[in-house]
Amino acid sequence: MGLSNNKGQAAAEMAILGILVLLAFSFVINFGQSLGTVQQTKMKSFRKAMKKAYEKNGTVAYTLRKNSNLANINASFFQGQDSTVEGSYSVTWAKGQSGPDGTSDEGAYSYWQINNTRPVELPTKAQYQYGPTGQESDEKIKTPYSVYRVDETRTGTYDYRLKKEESNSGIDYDKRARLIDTSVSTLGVRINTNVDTNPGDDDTPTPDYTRRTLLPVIDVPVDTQIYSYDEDWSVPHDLQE
Amino acid sequence: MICKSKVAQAILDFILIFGVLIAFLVGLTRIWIWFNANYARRNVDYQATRLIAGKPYNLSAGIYLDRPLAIDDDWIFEGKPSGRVR
Repeated sequence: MGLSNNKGQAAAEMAILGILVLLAFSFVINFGQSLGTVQQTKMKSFRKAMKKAYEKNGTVAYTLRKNSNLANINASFFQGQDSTVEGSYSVTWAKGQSGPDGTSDEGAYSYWQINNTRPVELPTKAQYQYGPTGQESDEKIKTPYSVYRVDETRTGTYDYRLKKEESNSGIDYDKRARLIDTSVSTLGVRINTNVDTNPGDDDTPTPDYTRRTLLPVIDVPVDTQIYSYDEDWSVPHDLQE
Repeated sequence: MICKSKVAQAILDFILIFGVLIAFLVGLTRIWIWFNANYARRNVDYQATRLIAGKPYNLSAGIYLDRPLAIDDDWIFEGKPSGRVR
């Protein structure tokens, strides 16, 4: 009876310790992946904003939204946990008058990119702009809309197959998982039409965002991953025939 | 005799669990170092490409470089990194 109890205690200790170590593993990997993805997305979005600003010869606000999968102990083999990271930067890079040559009514642009899709240029509205003391611009300037809502449908199709064959020659262990992660999004964009005509004073008019629209993002699959784990163990036998 | 066997079993259990624990901790530490090294490497590359990314040429403007270190058997089991962070 005493021996039996000891065995039970050893098994329980192993089980508890194993769970704690696996939890620590999961936490460290999840945190590390998350930190890396955030850093990468921020850096990428800044450089993309630079590139666009150079191409457009003006001011570009660029937002990169990235979906990824992080390690998760509760998910199945290589399934992971959904994660979304965003990086957004605004860069001004213009030689002379901003905007294309010969134009004076544009110079600010806004882009949104979701995963690896083509970046979406947000629409603009021509409206007067006002300096800090209330001086009106000579002409209406094309002002980009801003995103106020992202409707995203994310679908993860996951297949898992396990095959284990035991025979006299050994064990064949084959595990396969396939994850097809897709995302389809719609951007809700709007613009404030009740412009503050004197930004220098304390009187800020209530913004009017009635001018709004929806922009579908033609999306491609976020990621398709196939994982496999195929191991064969052979046990040498001296079979007597 | 029974008493001696129990002690021996406890020692074996302890050695086994301790060995597994050490192996897990070494693996965990290596993975954590890998994340940190990649974080540093990405930053080093990012800083190193600042000037070229700000040059007004079509090919270099806004260039972005990311060269993650490999996480493979060489690193996890032998501690051999696939590159340097600098």
